[in-house]
Amino acid sequence: MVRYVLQRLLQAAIVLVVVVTIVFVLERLSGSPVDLLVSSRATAADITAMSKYLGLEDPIYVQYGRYLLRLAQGDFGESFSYRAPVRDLIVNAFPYTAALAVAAFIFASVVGVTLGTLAAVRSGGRVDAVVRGFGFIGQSVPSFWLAIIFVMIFAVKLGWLPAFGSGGVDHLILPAVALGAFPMAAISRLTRSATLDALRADHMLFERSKGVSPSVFLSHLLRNASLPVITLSGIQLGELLSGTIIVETIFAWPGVGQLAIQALSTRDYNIVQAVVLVQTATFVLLNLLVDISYGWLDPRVRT
Amino acid sequence: MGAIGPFFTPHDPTRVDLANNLLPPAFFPGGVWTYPLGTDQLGRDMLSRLIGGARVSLLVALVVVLVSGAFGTTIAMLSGYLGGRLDSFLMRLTDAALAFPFLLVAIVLAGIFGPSIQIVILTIALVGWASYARVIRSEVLSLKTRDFVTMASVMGAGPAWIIRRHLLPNVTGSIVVLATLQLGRAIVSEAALSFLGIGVRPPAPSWGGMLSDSQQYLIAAWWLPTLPGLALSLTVLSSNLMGDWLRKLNDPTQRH
Repeated sequence: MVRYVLQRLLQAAIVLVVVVTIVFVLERLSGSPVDLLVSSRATAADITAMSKYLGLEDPIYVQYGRYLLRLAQGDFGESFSYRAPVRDLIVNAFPYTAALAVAAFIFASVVGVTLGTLAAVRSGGRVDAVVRGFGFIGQSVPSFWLAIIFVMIFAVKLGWLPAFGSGGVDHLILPAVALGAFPMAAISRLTRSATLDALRADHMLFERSKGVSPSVFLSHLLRNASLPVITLSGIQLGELLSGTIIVETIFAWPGVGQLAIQALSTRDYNIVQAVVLVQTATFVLLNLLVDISYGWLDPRVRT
Repeated sequence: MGAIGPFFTPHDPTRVDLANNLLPPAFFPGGVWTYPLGTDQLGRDMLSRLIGGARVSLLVALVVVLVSGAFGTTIAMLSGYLGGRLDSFLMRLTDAALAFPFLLVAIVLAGIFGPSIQIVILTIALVGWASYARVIRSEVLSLKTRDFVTMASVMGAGPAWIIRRHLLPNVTGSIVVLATLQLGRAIVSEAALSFLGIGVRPPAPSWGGMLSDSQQYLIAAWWLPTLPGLALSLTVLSSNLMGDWLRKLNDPTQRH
């Protein structure tokens, strides 16, 4: 088990380094931020001085080495446009993104697992048909369209919920449901098929014929059906994090996605790198946790 | 519909007619039959723009599926059949691709080269090949131990021959299923990029771009956000349904 975890940790670190390197190279190719910072009357000497001040004159491997060194110390550098440490910007914005992703995830897993289990228990019935239709539609409707339609109906026409910005829980409902619809559909479909498989297993048939109480039966059933659902949920949570970018821009939600989009227009390298790094790290970490919990739930994986 | 689009659009999708802007679809009060699905904020014909958008979406999605399918399958064959260090290296590469925040990369690339369809195709394909690599590799691993492959190798067939004649035909079913499911995802990705303004450049019609423009007219014109999204969702739905049907056809144990 320890070896398995170590192996997965190493793998996660490699993924991170690859992503950081690729993004670093891509962004250095995209042109200098100096042109955006200096005034139009700046002389060539001013521009050189500015480049030197920002460390952009050094060879690219020196810049890269310096960047990695600072990252290792938890320092994301300064933001050119905000003139503030990037770490502070991320620390301020990340809770918003996390809140949105977690809210969407709770919605998706609670509704998805409930619908999926219902459909499996009533397999072939009317509930099943409705849930399956729902699952297909939910997986086909893009989150940003759902977001716009929600704003049109619930904010503009009915005025029940705020259309944008952040504040109380009411600000979170529309973005979270729009973002959570796709994973909800995916989770409900997988829960349904996993529960059906578990119901058909011999030991479950035996339990049922033996006449165990419904609550014991249900807990055994869920435990057996949970493996694929947990794996999928982990993947979905990771995808939710990157899906927040587009939903954040629609609802003007002050998370890291919006921060990154704004930083790109000003070519604020450090912010973009930090956001990509934080998002990738979270994604990789979640996958790691899913793999480990998989080993914990299913003893057969522990080798 | 997308392919024959240019011959069937009732109007030029980029022609502006300000006198007739924000007309509702013809079967609603105020609509006219010259513009069956109404007009947008600049008086451009919605139907023509929807058809034009379909063309872009399908073109991008098809190219993405071809490129990432071919690349992913090649990786899977090399990784699965040859095995060893190459296999573990290629699988780490696949993990990295799956963990790649493609939306951010797309934005960065658009920043360097300007928004274009090529960038959209490249970034979606950059991530898309990984699922082929994963799924096909695991099938190759189990095929590799089957008697007919061992037989061929004993009889002196080289890896290239075995891959082409024995492995590829046996994974075609999975490739088709993956491709159909990816088609829907690629269409959504293209729309998402165009929505953020880093895909198809206006005034050329695209479903994502139309949705993005519609955000300012939610009160005045419900058809502006509704119709492109409906077109998008229905296209993706049909691609998903088709993929699911093919998967069941391919795998009899999945039929329930």
